[in-house]
Amino acid sequence: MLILLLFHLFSIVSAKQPPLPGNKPYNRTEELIYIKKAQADPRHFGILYDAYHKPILIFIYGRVKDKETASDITQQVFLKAMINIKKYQDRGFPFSSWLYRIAMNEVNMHYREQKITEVEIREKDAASLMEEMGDAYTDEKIALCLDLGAKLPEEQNRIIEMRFFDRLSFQEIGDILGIAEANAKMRVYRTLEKLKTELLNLLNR
Amino acid sequence: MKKYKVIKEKRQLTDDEIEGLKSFSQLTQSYQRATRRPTVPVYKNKWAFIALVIIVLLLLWISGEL
Repeated sequence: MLILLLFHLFSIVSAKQPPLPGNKPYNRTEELIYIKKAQADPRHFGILYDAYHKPILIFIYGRVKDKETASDITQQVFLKAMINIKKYQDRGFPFSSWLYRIAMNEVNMHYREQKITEVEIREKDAASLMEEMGDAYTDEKIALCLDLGAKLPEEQNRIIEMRFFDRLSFQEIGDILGIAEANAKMRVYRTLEKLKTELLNLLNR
Repeated sequence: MKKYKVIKEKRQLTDDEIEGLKSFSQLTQSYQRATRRPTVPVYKNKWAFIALVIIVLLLLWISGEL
Protein backbone atom coordinates (compact mmCIF):
# COMPACT_ATOMS: atom_id res chain seq x y z
CA MET A 1 0.00 0.00 0.00
CA LEU A 2 2.80 2.35 1.02
CA ILE A 3 4.71 1.47 -2.14
CA LEU A 4 1.65 2.23 -4.25
CA LEU A 5 1.22 5.56 -2.48
CA LEU A 6 4.90 6.44 -3.04
CA PHE A 7 4.62 5.44 -6.70
CA HIS A 8 1.54 7.63 -7.08
CA LEU A 9 3.31 10.61 -5.44
CA PHE A 10 6.36 10.08 -7.67
CA SER A 11 4.20 10.04 -10.81
CA ILE A 12 2.56 13.35 -9.76
CA VAL A 13 5.94 14.99 -9.08
CA SER A 14 7.49 13.76 -12.34
CA ALA A 15 4.45 14.88 -14.33
CA LYS A 16 5.01 18.45 -13.12
CA GLN A 17 8.60 18.62 -14.44
CA PRO A 18 8.89 21.00 -17.42
CA PRO A 19 9.78 19.30 -20.70
CA LEU A 20 13.45 19.64 -21.59
CA PRO A 21 13.66 21.25 -25.01
CA GLY A 22 17.18 20.10 -25.93
CA ASN A 23 17.91 21.44 -29.39
CA LYS A 24 14.23 21.65 -30.26
CA PRO A 25 12.69 25.10 -30.45
CA TYR A 26 10.21 25.97 -27.73
CA ASN A 27 7.66 28.71 -27.56
CA ARG A 28 8.24 32.24 -26.32
CA THR A 29 6.27 31.80 -23.11
CA GLU A 30 8.31 28.74 -22.15
CA GLU A 31 11.50 30.56 -23.08
CA LEU A 32 10.64 33.45 -20.77
CA ILE A 33 10.03 30.97 -17.97
CA TYR A 34 13.46 29.40 -18.55
CA ILE A 35 15.07 32.86 -18.62
CA LYS A 36 13.41 33.79 -15.32
CA LYS A 37 14.60 30.53 -13.80
CA ALA A 38 18.16 31.19 -15.01
CA GLN A 39 17.99 34.71 -13.61
CA ALA A 40 17.02 33.28 -10.23
CA ASP A 41 19.59 30.49 -10.34
CA PRO A 42 22.29 30.27 -13.05
CA ARG A 43 22.28 26.45 -12.80
CA HIS A 44 19.05 26.59 -14.83
CA PHE A 45 20.91 28.28 -17.68
CA GLY A 46 21.66 24.78 -19.05
CA ILE A 47 18.31 24.61 -20.86
CA LEU A 48 19.07 27.82 -22.76
CA TYR A 49 22.64 26.65 -23.40
CA ASP A 50 21.35 23.37 -24.87
CA ALA A 51 18.92 25.19 -27.14
CA TYR A 52 21.28 27.83 -28.50
CA HIS A 53 24.76 26.29 -28.43
CA LYS A 54 24.52 24.89 -31.96
CA PRO A 55 23.25 28.01 -33.81
CA ILE A 56 25.69 30.29 -32.00
CA LEU A 57 28.63 27.93 -32.64
CA ILE A 58 27.75 27.69 -36.36
CA PHE A 59 27.40 31.48 -36.57
CA ILE A 60 30.83 32.02 -34.98
CA TYR A 61 32.48 29.21 -36.97
CA GLY A 62 31.37 31.04 -40.13
CA ARG A 63 33.48 34.00 -39.07
CA VAL A 64 36.63 32.39 -37.71
CA LYS A 65 39.13 29.98 -39.19
CA ASP A 66 38.93 26.84 -37.06
CA LYS A 67 36.50 24.98 -34.85
CA GLU A 68 38.66 25.26 -31.71
CA THR A 69 38.63 29.06 -31.90
CA ALA A 70 34.90 29.00 -32.65
CA SER A 71 34.31 26.77 -29.63
CA ASP A 72 36.38 29.02 -27.32
CA ILE A 73 34.50 32.12 -28.45
CA THR A 74 31.16 30.30 -28.11
CA GLN A 75 31.98 29.37 -24.50
CA GLN A 76 32.93 32.99 -23.87
CA VAL A 77 29.60 34.15 -25.33
CA PHE A 78 27.63 31.84 -23.05
CA LEU A 79 29.78 32.75 -20.05
CA LYS A 80 29.01 36.44 -20.61
CA ALA A 81 25.34 35.63 -21.12
CA MET A 82 25.28 33.57 -17.91
CA ILE A 83 26.99 36.33 -15.92
CA ASN A 84 24.71 39.04 -17.32
CA ILE A 85 21.45 37.09 -17.50
CA LYS A 86 20.12 39.04 -14.49
CA LYS A 87 20.37 42.24 -16.54
CA TYR A 88 18.46 40.72 -19.47
CA GLN A 89 15.13 42.43 -20.10
CA ASP A 90 12.50 41.15 -22.47
CA ARG A 91 11.85 43.82 -25.07
CA GLY A 92 9.82 41.59 -27.35
CA PHE A 93 12.80 40.26 -29.31
CA PRO A 94 13.85 36.60 -29.10
CA PHE A 95 16.50 35.64 -26.56
CA SER A 96 18.66 34.46 -29.47
CA SER A 97 19.06 38.05 -30.73
CA TRP A 98 20.68 38.98 -27.41
CA LEU A 99 23.06 36.01 -27.78
CA TYR A 100 23.87 36.94 -31.40
CA ARG A 101 24.73 40.48 -30.32
CA ILE A 102 27.12 39.15 -27.67
CA ALA A 103 28.56 36.73 -30.26
CA MET A 104 29.16 39.51 -32.76
CA ASN A 105 30.92 41.63 -30.16
CA GLU A 106 33.08 38.68 -29.09
CA VAL A 107 34.06 37.92 -32.71
CA ASN A 108 34.97 41.58 -33.28
CA MET A 109 37.00 41.56 -30.07
CA HIS A 110 38.78 38.40 -31.26
CA TYR A 111 39.65 40.16 -34.54
CA ARG A 112 41.04 43.16 -32.67
CA GLU A 113 43.00 41.12 -30.13
CA GLN A 114 44.51 38.81 -32.74
CA LYS A 115 44.97 41.73 -35.15
CA ILE A 116 43.04 39.77 -37.77
CA THR A 117 42.24 41.80 -40.86
CA GLU A 118 41.44 39.07 -43.34
CA VAL A 119 37.94 37.61 -43.16
CA GLU A 120 37.10 34.50 -45.18
CA ILE A 121 33.83 34.41 -47.07
CA ARG A 122 32.37 31.74 -49.31
CA GLU A 123 32.45 32.27 -53.05
CA LYS A 124 28.73 31.61 -53.37
CA ASP A 125 27.95 34.22 -50.69
CA ALA A 126 29.98 36.81 -52.57
CA ALA A 127 28.14 35.80 -55.76
CA SER A 128 24.75 36.15 -54.06
CA LEU A 129 25.70 39.67 -52.98
CA MET A 130 26.50 40.55 -56.60
CA GLU A 131 23.28 38.94 -57.82
CA GLU A 132 21.27 40.94 -55.32
CA MET A 133 22.86 44.08 -56.68
CA GLY A 134 21.53 43.04 -60.07
CA ASP A 135 24.91 43.02 -61.66
CA ALA A 136 26.60 40.54 -63.97
CA TYR A 137 29.62 39.63 -61.94
CA THR A 138 33.19 38.74 -62.67
CA ASP A 139 35.99 37.88 -60.26
CA GLU A 140 37.31 41.40 -60.67
CA LYS A 141 33.93 42.97 -59.89
CA ILE A 142 33.51 40.74 -56.84
CA ALA A 143 36.93 41.78 -55.52
CA LEU A 144 36.13 45.47 -56.06
CA CYS A 145 32.72 45.13 -54.45
CA LEU A 146 34.16 43.35 -51.40
CA ASP A 147 36.82 46.04 -51.01
CA LEU A 148 34.08 48.67 -51.08
CA GLY A 149 32.00 46.61 -48.64
CA ALA A 150 34.91 46.44 -46.20
CA LYS A 151 35.26 50.23 -46.32
CA LEU A 152 31.59 50.85 -45.46
CA PRO A 153 30.78 52.37 -42.06
CA GLU A 154 30.71 49.64 -39.40
CA GLU A 155 26.91 49.44 -39.11
CA GLN A 156 26.39 49.11 -42.87
CA ASN A 157 29.24 46.64 -43.16
CA ARG A 158 27.71 44.59 -40.37
CA ILE A 159 24.29 44.54 -42.02
CA ILE A 160 25.78 43.28 -45.31
CA GLU A 161 27.74 40.60 -43.48
CA MET A 162 24.67 39.43 -41.58
CA ARG A 163 22.49 39.26 -44.69
CA PHE A 164 24.88 37.77 -47.22
CA PHE A 165 27.73 36.09 -45.35
CA ASP A 166 25.88 34.84 -42.26
CA ARG A 167 22.72 34.25 -44.35
CA LEU A 168 20.38 35.67 -41.71
CA SER A 169 16.79 36.54 -42.55
CA PHE A 170 15.51 40.13 -42.38
CA GLN A 171 13.57 39.14 -39.28
CA GLU A 172 16.74 37.84 -37.59
CA ILE A 173 18.71 40.95 -38.57
CA GLY A 174 15.91 43.11 -37.20
CA ASP A 175 15.86 41.18 -33.94
CA ILE A 176 19.63 41.50 -33.52
CA LEU A 177 19.64 45.22 -34.24
CA GLY A 178 16.48 45.81 -32.22
CA ILE A 179 14.53 47.15 -35.21
CA ALA A 180 11.47 46.01 -37.20
CA GLU A 181 11.86 43.50 -40.02
CA ALA A 182 10.75 46.10 -42.61
CA ASN A 183 13.34 48.54 -41.29
CA ALA A 184 16.06 45.88 -41.52
CA LYS A 185 15.05 45.17 -45.11
CA MET A 186 15.16 48.87 -45.96
CA ARG A 187 18.63 49.26 -44.42
CA VAL A 188 19.95 46.27 -46.38
CA TYR A 189 18.63 47.64 -49.68
CA ARG A 190 19.88 51.16 -48.98
CA THR A 191 23.34 49.77 -48.27
CA LEU A 192 23.18 47.70 -51.45
CA GLU A 193 22.23 50.80 -53.44
CA LYS A 194 25.15 52.66 -51.93
CA LEU A 195 27.51 49.80 -52.80
CA LYS A 196 26.16 49.64 -56.33
CA THR A 197 26.61 53.38 -56.89
CA GLU A 198 30.16 53.29 -55.53
CA LEU A 199 30.99 50.26 -57.67
CA LEU A 200 29.66 51.96 -60.83
CA ASN A 201 31.63 55.10 -60.03
CA LEU A 202 34.75 53.05 -59.61
CA LEU A 203 34.22 51.11 -62.85
CA ASN A 204 33.44 54.26 -64.85
CA ARG A 205 36.58 56.04 -63.77
CA MET B 1 41.63 47.59 -42.24
CA LYS B 2 39.33 44.67 -42.90
CA LYS B 3 39.82 42.67 -46.08
CA TYR B 4 37.72 39.82 -47.44
CA LYS B 5 39.23 36.69 -48.83
CA VAL B 6 37.00 34.61 -51.07
CA ILE B 7 37.24 30.87 -50.46
CA LYS B 8 35.51 28.04 -52.32
CA GLU B 9 33.58 26.43 -49.48
CA LYS B 10 34.19 26.03 -45.79
CA ARG B 11 33.81 22.56 -44.31
CA GLN B 12 30.64 22.39 -42.24
CA LEU B 13 30.76 21.05 -38.69
CA THR B 14 29.05 17.72 -38.21
CA ASP B 15 26.47 17.17 -35.47
CA ASP B 16 28.93 14.92 -33.64
CA GLU B 17 31.61 17.61 -33.70
CA ILE B 18 29.14 20.20 -32.41
CA GLU B 19 28.02 17.85 -29.66
CA GLY B 20 31.67 17.20 -28.75
CA LEU B 21 32.32 20.91 -28.35
CA LYS B 22 29.36 21.37 -26.05
CA SER B 23 30.07 21.30 -22.33
CA PHE B 24 27.78 22.90 -19.81
CA SER B 25 29.86 21.60 -16.90
CA GLN B 26 32.90 23.46 -18.25
CA LEU B 27 30.78 26.58 -18.65
CA THR B 28 29.53 26.25 -15.07
CA GLN B 29 33.13 25.94 -13.83
CA SER B 30 34.13 29.08 -15.76
CA TYR B 31 31.09 30.85 -14.32
CA GLN B 32 32.03 29.86 -10.79
CA ARG B 33 35.62 31.01 -11.33
CA ALA B 34 34.43 34.32 -12.79
CA THR B 35 31.93 35.06 -10.06
CA ARG B 36 33.76 33.60 -7.05
CA ARG B 37 34.38 36.11 -4.30
CA PRO B 38 37.93 36.43 -2.96
CA THR B 39 38.36 33.94 -0.12
CA VAL B 40 39.88 36.53 2.23
CA PRO B 41 38.06 39.84 2.58
CA VAL B 42 40.22 42.89 1.84
CA TYR B 43 40.21 44.11 5.44
CA LYS B 44 41.51 40.72 6.63
CA ASN B 45 44.34 40.67 4.09
CA LYS B 46 47.50 41.82 5.90
CA TRP B 47 49.02 43.65 2.93
CA ALA B 48 45.76 45.25 1.84
CA PHE B 49 45.22 46.43 5.41
CA ILE B 50 48.73 47.95 5.61
CA ALA B 51 48.21 49.65 2.23
CA LEU B 52 44.90 51.05 3.44
CA VAL B 53 46.51 52.41 6.65
CA ILE B 54 49.29 54.03 4.60
CA ILE B 55 46.75 55.64 2.26
CA VAL B 56 44.74 57.00 5.21
CA LEU B 57 47.90 58.34 6.89
CA LEU B 58 49.00 59.96 3.63
CA LEU B 59 45.60 61.58 3.18
CA LEU B 60 45.68 62.88 6.74
CA TRP B 61 49.23 64.19 6.22
CA ILE B 62 48.25 65.93 2.98
CA SER B 63 45.20 67.51 4.60
CA GLY B 64 47.43 68.83 7.42
CA GLU B 65 45.77 66.89 10.24
CA LEU B 66 49.06 65.21 11.22
